[in-house]
Amino acid sequence: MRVIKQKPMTVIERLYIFEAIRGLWTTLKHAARGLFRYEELPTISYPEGQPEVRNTYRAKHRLMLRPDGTPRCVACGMCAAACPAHCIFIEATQSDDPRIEKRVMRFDIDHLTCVFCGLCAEACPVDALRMDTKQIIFEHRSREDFVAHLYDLTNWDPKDYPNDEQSQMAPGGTKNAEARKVWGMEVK
Amino acid sequence: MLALIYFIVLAIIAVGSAVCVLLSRHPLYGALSLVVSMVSLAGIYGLLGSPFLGVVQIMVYAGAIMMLLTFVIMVLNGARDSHTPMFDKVSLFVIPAVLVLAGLVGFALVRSPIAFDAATIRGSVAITSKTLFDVAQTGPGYFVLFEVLGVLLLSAMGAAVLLAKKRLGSVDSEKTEGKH
Amino acid sequence: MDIIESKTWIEWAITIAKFAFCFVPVLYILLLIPMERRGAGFMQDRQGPNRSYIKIPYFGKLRAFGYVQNMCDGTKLFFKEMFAPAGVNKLLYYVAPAIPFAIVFLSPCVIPWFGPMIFDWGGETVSIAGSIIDSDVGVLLLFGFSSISAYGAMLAGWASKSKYSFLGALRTSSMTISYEVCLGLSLMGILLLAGSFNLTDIVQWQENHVWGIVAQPVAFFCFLIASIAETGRAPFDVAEGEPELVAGYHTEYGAMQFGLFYMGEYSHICINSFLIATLFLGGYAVPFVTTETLQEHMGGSLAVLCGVLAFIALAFLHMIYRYSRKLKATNLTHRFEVLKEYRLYKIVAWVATLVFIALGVCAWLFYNPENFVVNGMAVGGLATAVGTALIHLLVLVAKSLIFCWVWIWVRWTLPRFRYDHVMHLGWKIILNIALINLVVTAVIAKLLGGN
Repeated sequence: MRVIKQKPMTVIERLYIFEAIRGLWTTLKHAARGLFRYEELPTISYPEGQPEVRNTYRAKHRLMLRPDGTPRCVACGMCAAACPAHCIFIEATQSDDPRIEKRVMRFDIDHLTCVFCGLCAEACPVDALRMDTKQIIFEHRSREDFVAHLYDLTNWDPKDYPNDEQSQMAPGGTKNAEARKVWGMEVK
Repeated sequence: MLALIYFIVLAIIAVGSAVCVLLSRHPLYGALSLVVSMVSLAGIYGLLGSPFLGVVQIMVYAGAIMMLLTFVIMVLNGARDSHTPMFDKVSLFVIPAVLVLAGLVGFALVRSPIAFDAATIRGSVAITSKTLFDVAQTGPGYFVLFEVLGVLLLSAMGAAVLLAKKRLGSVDSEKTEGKH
Repeated sequence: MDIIESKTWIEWAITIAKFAFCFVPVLYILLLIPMERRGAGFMQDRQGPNRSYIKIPYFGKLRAFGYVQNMCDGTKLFFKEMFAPAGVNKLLYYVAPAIPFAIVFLSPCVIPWFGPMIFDWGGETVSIAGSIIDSDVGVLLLFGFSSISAYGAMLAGWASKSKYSFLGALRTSSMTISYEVCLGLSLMGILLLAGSFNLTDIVQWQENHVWGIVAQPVAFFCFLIASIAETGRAPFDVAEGEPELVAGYHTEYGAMQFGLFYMGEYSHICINSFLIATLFLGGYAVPFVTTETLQEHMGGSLAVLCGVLAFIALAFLHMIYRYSRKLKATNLTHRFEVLKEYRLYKIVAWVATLVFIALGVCAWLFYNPENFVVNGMAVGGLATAVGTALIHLLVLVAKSLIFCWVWIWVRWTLPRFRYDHVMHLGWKIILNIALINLVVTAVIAKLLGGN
């Protein structure tokens, strides 16, 4: 057992009044900052100002795309197996591409059940599922709207991820043409 | 004239609330009526040209002592005991005595030479202090009485604390004290 | 009627006009509540309530730095339904909140708002006291009122038929009794020096000698602590400590009944800060300048006053401009809306600045009323007297605002004391310090040859 020994108070601390004055000085400094340096307050006036979200923040999911526009997902079901909240529903079907066995027909994530643990993104063997959209606002009219379908998950804009090479290779990305060439497909 | 109207109003309030003290069955209502009575008495003191006495009346009696009394009534939950009969056999002696006393006091007041005049200052701070603390040989010498009264009150307080302490020192209280 | 003819009409007019000072504590509530809420926000690194607005034609949403929020809250309190829980004592339940609030209107009558106005009127010297009641017993009257106002809390707690209210009421009453003693005793030192209970005399003593805070620093601290405790504010708000007693004596109250308690508390703060300013900070006296000097150079004094006001307006403008610049640089979506609103404040502040500067220059150049000497005393006209009174009043208000801030500052800094600590502090520490201070003051005053 670890016992934390408290430092006994000195005579001046026991008198209370000097410590009280020290505390008053601290709050005075803070009050003066609020009054004269209002914009330095850490508060974000929310609907008008948005908070800064980091890349590593586990936000809403997205599905990465191949350069031809199909989802990268191979419908292996690892994410659904890893999900502790059982909120991912996958239906697989035959892939048209001979190099790939399966593709997803249905990929639903119920965001009302999701706990945003990020295990699905960790489990994905082909790096198809990511949680870096930085979208932290979930605001819908009905419960059904909270379920993200394949269309919602793949419908992201490469311009939002300027620092990510792989996102740029997706349809609409700036490196799309070269990427398609590498993949072995005709460039439109 | 104006002062007389004020006096009549204040006197009615004072006497009325004093009667309320007697008639109310609820101790807290009694205490509150006493407060009202004391505040209106303070007003009468002010009318008589002694604002100092009036303010002391408000501060000490209405403010401190009655507050303490109300506090005690609340703590002891005295509000429960409201079934005591208002009149019993003792009242036969008490009521005539009170009436006789009131008559005596009224007679003395009517015969006293104090004319009712609001303009004369009788009990301002300066006059009160001069009367009480005039240590000159020719003075009224109230200061000795005043000091003796102070010592008497102090000793009474000491005695009260001692009495309470004795009860505190009993077996029960020692048990509870040990717990602290 | 003799009583009407005993004074000239100008005396009557000023005497009656002085009754307006009864409303000062109530007006201070309007100032103290935003000060408290925004101040508390700033101390805790928040912004404080600032979102409510009124839409006005040209400038868009008028937020008035969060002031509109307080108006909204007040309106809500005012229009809520009043109700009494079952089993309460109806009469006392409804009367109780009115007691502290009614006392609020009585308390300001003994505070000297300005020095005695002495002026020449139609050949005779007229003298009007600065307080509404110029009584020998000024301070005592104030203490009497404040002790009576504690009945409100007490009856409220008892009439509510709730254990929490009841305990809160008991704590309030015992704390009031305890700290009244400290309050009175710590005051005695300065009363001894001034030799009077009359607040005007005390202020004049301070004007002629030194301020009370210099003469009686220990008493000042004792008085400050005791009066904070007497208003029942943190860190002494054991009577309404929410971890123990829901909300203390006003647990069962809602709507404007609660509002009356709330306003009574703030008015009590206002009265106490005026009292401390009067007793220890020289009251209406202008620092380092005597009233005679002020009256001799009336125009110059008014010019200085206008200059100070113009400086405050300019400082406000500086802050507005500075913040507008910072706001433009951000990417808040409502920044142009706010800037549009700030245009209004800029216009008002610029107009105020120019008006104050113009008034100051005019006063300096043209406002030089003559003083007459009657019985060796300089006696000015009505204009001089009114100008002096105005300066005195503003100085007193400025001093009291400092203490209002102290109340808020202390509340949002120090944690609440435990109940036995409060009693310990009151009876064993402050009371003894005040007693020792009184004895030492008496001895020194006697040695230095006082009365």
